[in-house]
Amino acid sequence: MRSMELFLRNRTIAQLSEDERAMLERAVTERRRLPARSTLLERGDALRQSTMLINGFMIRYIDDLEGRRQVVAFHVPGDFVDLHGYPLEVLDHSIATLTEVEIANVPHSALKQLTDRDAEFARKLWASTLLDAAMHREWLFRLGRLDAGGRVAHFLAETNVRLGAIGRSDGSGFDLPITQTDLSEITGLTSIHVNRVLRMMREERICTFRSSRVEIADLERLERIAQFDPTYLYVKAGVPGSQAATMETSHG
Amino acid sequence: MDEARTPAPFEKGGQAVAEQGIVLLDGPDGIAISMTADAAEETGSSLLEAARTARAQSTARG
Repeated sequence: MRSMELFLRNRTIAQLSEDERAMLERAVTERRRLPARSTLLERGDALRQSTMLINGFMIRYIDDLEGRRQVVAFHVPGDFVDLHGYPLEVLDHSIATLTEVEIANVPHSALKQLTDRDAEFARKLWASTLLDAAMHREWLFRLGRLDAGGRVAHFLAETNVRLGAIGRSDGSGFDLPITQTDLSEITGLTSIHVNRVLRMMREERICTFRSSRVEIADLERLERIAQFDPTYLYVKAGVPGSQAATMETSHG
Repeated sequence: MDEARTPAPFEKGGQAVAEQGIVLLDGPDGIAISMTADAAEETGSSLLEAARTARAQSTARG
């Protein structure tokens, strides 16, 4: 698969032409695999390149003074994990793999050349970082306003749509090779709390998360518990899971 | 900011359950935490004491 195959697929916020995709592909200097549970970049690292996630899952995280981790972003294939690092030049969080991954590196010097000569292409790269920002805002809402069930449901509903946009979910199920500890760090809960929530969702026939696979039996109810509205993901109509459940009130 | 969106104290309490020897507290609102039994007992005592004081303050204010 081409390194840039999944980048901005099925998004309304920006669409790459095949020429633009090929241009970005030519800027890749290295493709490599990383093992699961490995740190790619530490908070404070200076950056010289941006990372495209081709396969696998990665996270951005911040550890507190006692080493407890809060995941601040979860990345799926097709994500430019640290494109925002190009203008920022120094990372304010750490990046690690959850699973074995395949990544492609694009030097910042190449991004500069591409964006200097093509303002529209630069706008599209900018738009992709704004997608990250939109998710950050939604994660703030998730952690600040939703109870344990809502937080887990929201993450699963969101991931369902994100993977649907790249053809990795059919709207009712997807592979998610992460642990309950990972899920606890994503949702700001303990593993015990996550375990209880998942058990309740299974018993109430909403969804199951077992053997690295999420199966959604009742998407409408999952999205209602999550107060999930996929508008912030800017996916095209027809992407599996992108039809939001009817909500009595909107948090947007 | 209109009155409906001004942050106000919650009128409905959270729900605590025991799971695998740990106390899980859900709600109100976005609260979702886990505590040891000792920490839960300490928190509970602190909450009860604060509730008694808050009621007295409300009564004093009339």
